[in-house]
Amino acid sequence: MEYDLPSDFDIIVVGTGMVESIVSAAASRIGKRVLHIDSNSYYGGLWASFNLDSISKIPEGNRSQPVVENKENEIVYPVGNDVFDLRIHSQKWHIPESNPEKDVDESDSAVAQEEHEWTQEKLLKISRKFNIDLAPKLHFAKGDFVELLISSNIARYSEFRSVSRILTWLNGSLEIVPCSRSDVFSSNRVSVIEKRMLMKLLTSCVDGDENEFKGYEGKTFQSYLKDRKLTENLIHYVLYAIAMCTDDTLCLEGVEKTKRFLGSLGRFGKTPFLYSMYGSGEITQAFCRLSAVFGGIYALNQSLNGFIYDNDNTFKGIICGKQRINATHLVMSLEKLPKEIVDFSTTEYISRAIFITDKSILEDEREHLTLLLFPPVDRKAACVVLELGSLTGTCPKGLHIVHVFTKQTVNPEDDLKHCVEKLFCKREGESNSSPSILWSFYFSAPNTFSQKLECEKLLNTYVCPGPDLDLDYDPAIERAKEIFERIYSNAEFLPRAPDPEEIIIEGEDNNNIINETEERAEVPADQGDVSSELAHEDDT
Amino acid sequence: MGAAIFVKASVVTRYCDSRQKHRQSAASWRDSETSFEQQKGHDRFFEMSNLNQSGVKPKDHLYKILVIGDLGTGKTSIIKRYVHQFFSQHYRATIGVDFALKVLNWDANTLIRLQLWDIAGQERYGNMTRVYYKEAVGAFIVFDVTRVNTFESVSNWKADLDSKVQLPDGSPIPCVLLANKCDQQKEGLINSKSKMEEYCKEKGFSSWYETSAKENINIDEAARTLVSQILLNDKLINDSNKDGDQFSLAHTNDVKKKSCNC
Ligand SMILES: Nc1nc2c(ncn2[C@@H]2O[C@H](COP(=O)(O)OP(=O)(O)OP(=O)(O)O)[C@@H](O)[C@H]2O)c(=O)[nH]1
Ligand SMILES: [Mg+2]
Repeated sequence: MEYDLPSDFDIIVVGTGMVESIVSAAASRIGKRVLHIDSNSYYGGLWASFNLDSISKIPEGNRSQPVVENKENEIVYPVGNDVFDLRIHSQKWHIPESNPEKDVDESDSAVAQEEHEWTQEKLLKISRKFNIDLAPKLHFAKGDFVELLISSNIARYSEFRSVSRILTWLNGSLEIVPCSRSDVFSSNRVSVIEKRMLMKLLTSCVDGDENEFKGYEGKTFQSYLKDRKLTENLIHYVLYAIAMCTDDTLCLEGVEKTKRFLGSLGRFGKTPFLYSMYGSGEITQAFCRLSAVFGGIYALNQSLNGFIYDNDNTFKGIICGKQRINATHLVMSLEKLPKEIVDFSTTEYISRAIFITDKSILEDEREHLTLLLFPPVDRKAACVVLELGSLTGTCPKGLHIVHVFTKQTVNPEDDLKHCVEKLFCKREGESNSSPSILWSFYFSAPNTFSQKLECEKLLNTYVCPGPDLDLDYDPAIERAKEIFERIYSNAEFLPRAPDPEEIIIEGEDNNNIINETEERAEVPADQGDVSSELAHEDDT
Repeated sequence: MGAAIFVKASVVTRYCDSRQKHRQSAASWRDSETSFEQQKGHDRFFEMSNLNQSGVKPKDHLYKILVIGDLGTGKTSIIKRYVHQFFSQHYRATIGVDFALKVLNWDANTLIRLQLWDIAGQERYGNMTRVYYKEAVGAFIVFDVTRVNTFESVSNWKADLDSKVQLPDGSPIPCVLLANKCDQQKEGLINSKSKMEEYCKEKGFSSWYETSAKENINIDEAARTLVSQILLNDKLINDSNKDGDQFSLAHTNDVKKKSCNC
């Protein structure tokens, strides 16, 4: 579509990842004029979800064309760098392309019921039933993210499913982690004495009596658990599953993590965790929708040719195709940062694998949403495994999507191999009780949260990191809030947006034609000076 | 003189920060069993998506309807006319509103609430989020009879719609085509009724109407047609499998607000 964007904004946000989208929503919410653009044709950047067909086409990165014009007294930087791109290792099918003997014109439900007959053709035909996350996230039921969704009223845009069980790998098999009181008491893997010990320990972690941890300041959480005379099994449950720690995690950090877990129990479902229906990519879009509803202008698939700065490196605007668009502030995702500005040499990576499988890693009568915390073994770091079924709206009935990830040490395949081999069938076509992998995708994603958020060289420019290893969005929210507060130091961060039902529109009763209708929702915060950029300039 | 939109004073209550969260957490863990059980009986916590509340009161329906189409074809005007009974030559963007709500007394024992989702003027470049499409059960596609190019876009809008939202069984949601501004001089295919019929059949529209938001022509009729189409799918819409593990977080706040006075 050919169109011109308005040419003057308070803030331009480049990239629709999580941090950018929160900043965009927060700025629109207080009445700032926001332009939010993305060179991709989809929302979410490195935080997006894709269907099966489109994930096979995701670009590793995108660069702008070299800049055309350079005016006097200004510097134009090209867009993008290749330091923070995804690195795709392999994307493979493990099933035949098609099955010539069978009639392929079957309806969805028939396909789902049929066993062991999956073909690439069949899966691609129902490609849209898949929502495959590049950065799957879970949410602590009482964590910062859930509280922010509720307090800002963005919650109305999304729905969640609770994780229905938490597993760990213990003594060569999958075990259910008893996390709530009822789990502890009903578990037949835990003896009566262990039950008492576990309850006592969890209670003392939660109550946080200072004396309890005296002397453990420099010691590990593991040593604390050992001193409490917990059995090996219990130490495993608490250390690797509940607290999600390593052997080296310090005691007080372990206690904090235990509290984070326990504090979120009992609000929704049986575990502390929620997952966003239709994939984690929905979440960035919920923030974008709020931004749009409060006046933010959106343009995806937007060719972006350069960032304009004046001679003292103060941000002036951007070049989009032939258009120049001015703004006071620029917020952008790290991968959009001009190449010559990037001075980061080392980058951490996350090793990720995504599988489509034909059954659950631990079969049960009902479908589960499973979180498996695979403990560290030998010199391999702990892995997080998230198994999603059709009830999450991310895959068709009868199949599962499994995400496996860990901090990168070598490469995705080598980092995850030990875990993957234990959970799935080893050879193609071999059928035992483990699920088979129908499709696999290994890639590395940059873990950029340790990067600085302001580039010293460029003024009024703020940089947003990509996805990190935290299970939830806590670090992303913190970053977004930090950026927002630097730009608008006195403004409220995402005050509650009214529900549509709370907005009363009063029309004129007698005279049905009103000229020059000026309407505006008088919402809390300094919404008063919203300018009406959106009035029709184009039709007369 | 003009229309005004304001927010009921009661919602301006500020959110109080989550400092008390940590204080609560200890207690909530220990009581987790009991509080979980209590909440179960408490709708507020277990409120499924409000679009599915009809499961509770069988004759009270809530439907989400999308209104899409090219720039300036009259989407906002049609919604304003239908819901608020007025028309204006110059709308400014309505800030902060997701949808307009129209309540229909369909028959003696059926109440229908329609959520009409406008394209936020801001998303006018055609980049609506999935949030916009999600759980919609019907749509209007609007074109401007005075501008042929807006009619040419109709098939793109329809294809886009069908690719982004389907009924639980995978079939497209019912969609009515609105040939708006029929109080003006018409251009193109719209001048031939039989060709329009053929076009709608081919593109999968349930029906089409010539409308005018200005003169209030056919808007109620078009809506009635769309609603009766949606009602045919009602069973399908409500059968979507939702169990106790699915949550909407909306309105969870209300409880919280009561407990703090800051
Ligand atoms: N004559 C006439 N004018 C109309 C009619 N409906 C809308 N208009 C005018 O057309 C212009 C655009 O109407 P809007 O309702 O703002 O159109 P829209 O589709 O919401 O536009 P965007 O939100 O910008 O995409 C306004 O000037 C309206 O007054 C109609 O039925 N007849
Ligand atoms: Mg409009």
